[in-house]
Amino acid sequence: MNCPEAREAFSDLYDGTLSGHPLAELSRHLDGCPACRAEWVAFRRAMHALKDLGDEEPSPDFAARVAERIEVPRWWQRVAATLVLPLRVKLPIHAAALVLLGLAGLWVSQRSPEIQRAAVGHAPATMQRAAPAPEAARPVIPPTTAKKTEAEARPSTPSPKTVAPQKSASPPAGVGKIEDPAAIPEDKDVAHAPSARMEAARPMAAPPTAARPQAQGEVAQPGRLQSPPPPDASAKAESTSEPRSGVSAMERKTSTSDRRSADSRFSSAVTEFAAQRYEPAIDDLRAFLAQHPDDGRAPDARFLLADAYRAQGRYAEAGAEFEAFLRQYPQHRRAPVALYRHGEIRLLLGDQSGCNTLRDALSRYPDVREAATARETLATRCP
Amino acid sequence: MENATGLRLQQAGSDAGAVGAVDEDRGLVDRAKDGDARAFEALVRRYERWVFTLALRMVGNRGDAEDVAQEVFLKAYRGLQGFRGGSRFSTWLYAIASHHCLNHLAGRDSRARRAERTGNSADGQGGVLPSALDRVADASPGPDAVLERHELRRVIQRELLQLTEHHRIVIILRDIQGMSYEEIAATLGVELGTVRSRLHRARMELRARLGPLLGEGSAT
Repeated sequence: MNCPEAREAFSDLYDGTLSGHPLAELSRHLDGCPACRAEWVAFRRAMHALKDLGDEEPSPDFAARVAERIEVPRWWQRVAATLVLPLRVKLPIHAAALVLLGLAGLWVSQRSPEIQRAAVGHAPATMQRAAPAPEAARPVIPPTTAKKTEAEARPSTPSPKTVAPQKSASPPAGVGKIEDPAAIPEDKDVAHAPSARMEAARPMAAPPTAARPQAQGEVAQPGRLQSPPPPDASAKAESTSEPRSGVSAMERKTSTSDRRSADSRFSSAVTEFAAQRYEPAIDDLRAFLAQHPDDGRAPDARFLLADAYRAQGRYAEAGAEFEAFLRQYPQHRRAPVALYRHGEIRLLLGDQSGCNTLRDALSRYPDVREAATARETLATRCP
Repeated sequence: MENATGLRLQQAGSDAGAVGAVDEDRGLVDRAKDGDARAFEALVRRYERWVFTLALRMVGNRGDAEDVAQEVFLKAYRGLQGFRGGSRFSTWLYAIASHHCLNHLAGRDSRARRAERTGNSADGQGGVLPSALDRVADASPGPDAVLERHELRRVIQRELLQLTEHHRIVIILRDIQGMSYEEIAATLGVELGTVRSRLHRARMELRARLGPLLGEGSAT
């Protein structure tokens, strides 16, 4: 076995599907080939790192928002949908329905002498002009029975119409086939029509993301980054969306016994952050910073807060927090990384001053690992 | 090798546990077909994590992933009357989700996609310390370890987005969602051999991309 053959077998080796002679051969090759052995270790590392990505949670109200967009079908839609069955089931049902319909029509016409008279008198006209037929029949009806006959005639005249909704109510083409995974139709109404509905539903449906419009507003004003709000001000701005989020000055004064200690708040924030639950992490971090601004972990909290916003794509808020971090802790060991991130985020927000921030960072901290990406960014985005 | 054994054991366990889940799914599906919106909401809750994870790994950002995942469930709801229980509900839903993700990506303009990748790349903050994985594995959850791991995940997600859609979905279904080759073939409607070859290509490419970031050469 040569090296390319050995490497071709890595996937099977990783999945444990190799056995017998091929496995023995590969083992022998790996024993004698340091290059392939190193390659195999690197392969496994990459796979472990990929697996470490793990599951992600959607927002807490995800299922509720889906439920809001669902239109529960009415009873007749469900009945109609059940009629979209295989032909061997559907045909007898449809045939029976037609026979019943015919019998019902016959029954009604036999019970209504007016219709019989109309049919006898104006049969050709009725055939040619379906709509005016009842009008033509009307003069024959004695005035005293007119009301009654109208009521009696109603079930017979709309009978063709009662069939019509069933036809139009049939589910969209392809629904019956959807069980075949390969045949799932990409119906356009899913991709487009509901999105409009979703736009309408979202503001009410997604309270946790209520702060986003604010963030988007900030995107439109890059200058906003130049003078970030004090932490308390932004905490106040968020306090309306979540009860846990902001902690007002008054709350700080009222040192109640149920207030969580700095330790538990901080470790809770770190745990949430580690689990990629950024919303609660942000809440904890904001509360921690508001309650314990002089705690030794405040710089870490500020940095984590900025990074949590960044992870959520809330770049305006992330930028403001990185800037606040740099202003408050310019000598902190995380300051170099914060400066690089601040520069990158400015560019993401369309603020070209990020180029100068990155150049500044590169001249001051050329040896941190963020430097390589910053050079790439400068080359592609800062002509 | 021990990984393979672990995988098999894990699969056996999940198979055993899946029997009850299949029955519960069937009951919920029947009720949802009768117009019980709560039953369908319960199905959404059962599978939202799976569908959202797939969507997120495929499209790369939470906002789009939530939209895609919502559309998957709406599509499933509309097709529910046509689902006759010939397969598991989960298999049926995973197929809808996988196809919807692929269609969503195919619908994007390739230039826009390229621009987006560049954006992610600029945002992704490049390198990770060589021995990051080793340190993360046994680190207590201090801010340093947490931030390190956070960065590592961002990098992996970024590199994952560089794979072609068909390679990406296979590697996600196998190595993140833990599906068997057979399940993947059924979900995507392709041959087993296609799954095998796409998966191998995807893994080798990802390994090549992640190699320098995960400390190539420091392997033991």
